Amino acid sequence: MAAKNGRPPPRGPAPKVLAALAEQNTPDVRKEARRYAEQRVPLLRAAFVPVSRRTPDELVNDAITDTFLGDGDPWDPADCDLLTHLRGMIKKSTWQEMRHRLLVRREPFDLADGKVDEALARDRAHASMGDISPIMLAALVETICAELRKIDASDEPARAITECWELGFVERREVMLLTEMDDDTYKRARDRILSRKKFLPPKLLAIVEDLLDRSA
Amino acid sequence: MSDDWTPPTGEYERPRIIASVKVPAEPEVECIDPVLGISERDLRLVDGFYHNLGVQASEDPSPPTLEEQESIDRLGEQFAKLQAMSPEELDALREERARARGRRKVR
Repeated sequence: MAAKNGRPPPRGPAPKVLAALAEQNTPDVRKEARRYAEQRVPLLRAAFVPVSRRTPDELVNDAITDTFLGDGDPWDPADCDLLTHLRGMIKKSTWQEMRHRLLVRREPFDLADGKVDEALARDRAHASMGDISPIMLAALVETICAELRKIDASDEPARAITECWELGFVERREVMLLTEMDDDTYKRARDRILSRKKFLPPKLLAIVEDLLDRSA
Repeated sequence: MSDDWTPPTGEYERPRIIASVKVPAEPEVECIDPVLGISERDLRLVDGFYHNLGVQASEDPSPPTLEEQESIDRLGEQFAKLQAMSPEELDALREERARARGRRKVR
């Protein structure tokens, strides 16, 4: 719709959103967003997405740029702070990329097309070229799920949180709403879950994380 | 018979997941990769685990390393460039990014 002066209305977020973005985009927020992004890199790498040392920066820059341009999920500063919004954008883009890669991978293995040998040969070639085992993500997923499902049944808060994650609800606010847990119970249970990282096979984590060095 | 495990006194009332919540927007795929045996539910669990590791990392109050500081400065410069763009330049950037996204989708 044209504005009164005949020009199209300006695209992008409202001025108050841009003002909030400029105000909240501080060095501290960029540091926090980058540290978040770094933790997404092993997942991308395991899903065969090419990454480099610059990937965390690129993820943060993409999220800030999308917010500034009004692309993707719009930011409402009244709803959450900028850091929460940026983390959500980074999570969504990496989740979609990872899921997309897996869905694409699914097609060559379709047994109905009768080209299984060809598909397996392609996969082996892919693995040998990129130093990436096609089973890496499967191994990572299987190992982490097995470890998280070892959480004792009596630890109801931790079990409830992982159930929420399985359904795709991962933010503190939504998990607390869904489980009716108080902040302190939530935080202690979440930290108990995350501490299980130390029980994951160091070799597997090292393979995933050290691939960064090779791709730098 | 009820499978409600709550004891009669209710002292261990379990944190529960409320049923009346909106479902995730993406369609559920039963098995994302049947050969590798990855289900959507498993993938979401791992995604949630890494998301929360990321949240925990971002809450770490330690000062930035040298490498992080360089990134923080670079990101600040990139944002300043964005703010200095004209409406026409911003439109061109939007289109360029939309094209790049389209390319990624068909890849």
